[in-house]
Amino acid sequence: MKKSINETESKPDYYLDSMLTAEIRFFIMTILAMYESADFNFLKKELSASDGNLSVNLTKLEEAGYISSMKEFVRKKPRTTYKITGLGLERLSRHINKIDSFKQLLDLKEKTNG
Amino acid sequence: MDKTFNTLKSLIEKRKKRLKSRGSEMFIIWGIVILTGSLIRTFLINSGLVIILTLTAGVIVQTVYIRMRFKVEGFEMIWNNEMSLMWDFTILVIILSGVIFPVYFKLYSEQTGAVLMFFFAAPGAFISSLWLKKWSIIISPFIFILTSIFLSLPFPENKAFIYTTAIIFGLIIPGIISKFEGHLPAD
Repeated sequence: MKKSINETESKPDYYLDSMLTAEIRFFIMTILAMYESADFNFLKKELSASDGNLSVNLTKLEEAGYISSMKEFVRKKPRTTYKITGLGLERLSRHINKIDSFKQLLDLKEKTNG
Repeated sequence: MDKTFNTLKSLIEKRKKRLKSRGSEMFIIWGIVILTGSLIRTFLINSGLVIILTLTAGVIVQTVYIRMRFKVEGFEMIWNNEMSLMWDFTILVIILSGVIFPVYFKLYSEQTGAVLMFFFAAPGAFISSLWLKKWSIIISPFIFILTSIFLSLPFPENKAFIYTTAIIFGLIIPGIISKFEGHLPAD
């Protein structure tokens, strides 16, 4: 079942982005935010992920509009290159900010209890 | 949680080192290309066209090298876009101010053109060093400014020696030093 962008947007503000709670998708997004673009084999090597797992998660991110892909042939071999989209970058940044704000809340709670 | 944090930390560290390593290679490549052009102009063909062809060759070598590395490594960094564009623009300014205006339009002397070439190379090198966060490259813009000042003085006779020294100390040596700074054993 595809997860639409609207589904993510309709959730209350304290919810974490479900598209980024999976570790591998979060790492894919982090890599694509740090590089201008990266191909499938590079992501596979960086994340030590299997072809199937990586492919499924890349497709999910692409369907959600967080990343875009470009297919080309290099020496007759297919090659797919991925880039983070504006929406993806915004969602990743929001996700990290939320985690950070949760951490600050927890720290505050610990201090109050202590 | 520790594993996640360590993976994230390792991804960030690798990216930092790759960025630094790539920047160094560009300085070395440009250094070799310009040095070759400068030697050709001094010993073989004394023409402004040699500078134009050398700088154009540099842009072509840079583009081909970046494309080749992308095919082999599978990732693109700042050198593929923003920094390449900045250097392409800088090279265009250098060609116009250093060769086209003084040699072909006779707007000012060739000596002033040489002064301007090094003067306009300095901001490019300065921005690159800040972008790459490489302190070994920060010497580059200062060498170019010093060369520019030195060339503006009336006495320098052996200009070829000044150009060669500026290229070696402003591009090749900082490139080699920063290559060690950005070495990535894991790659």
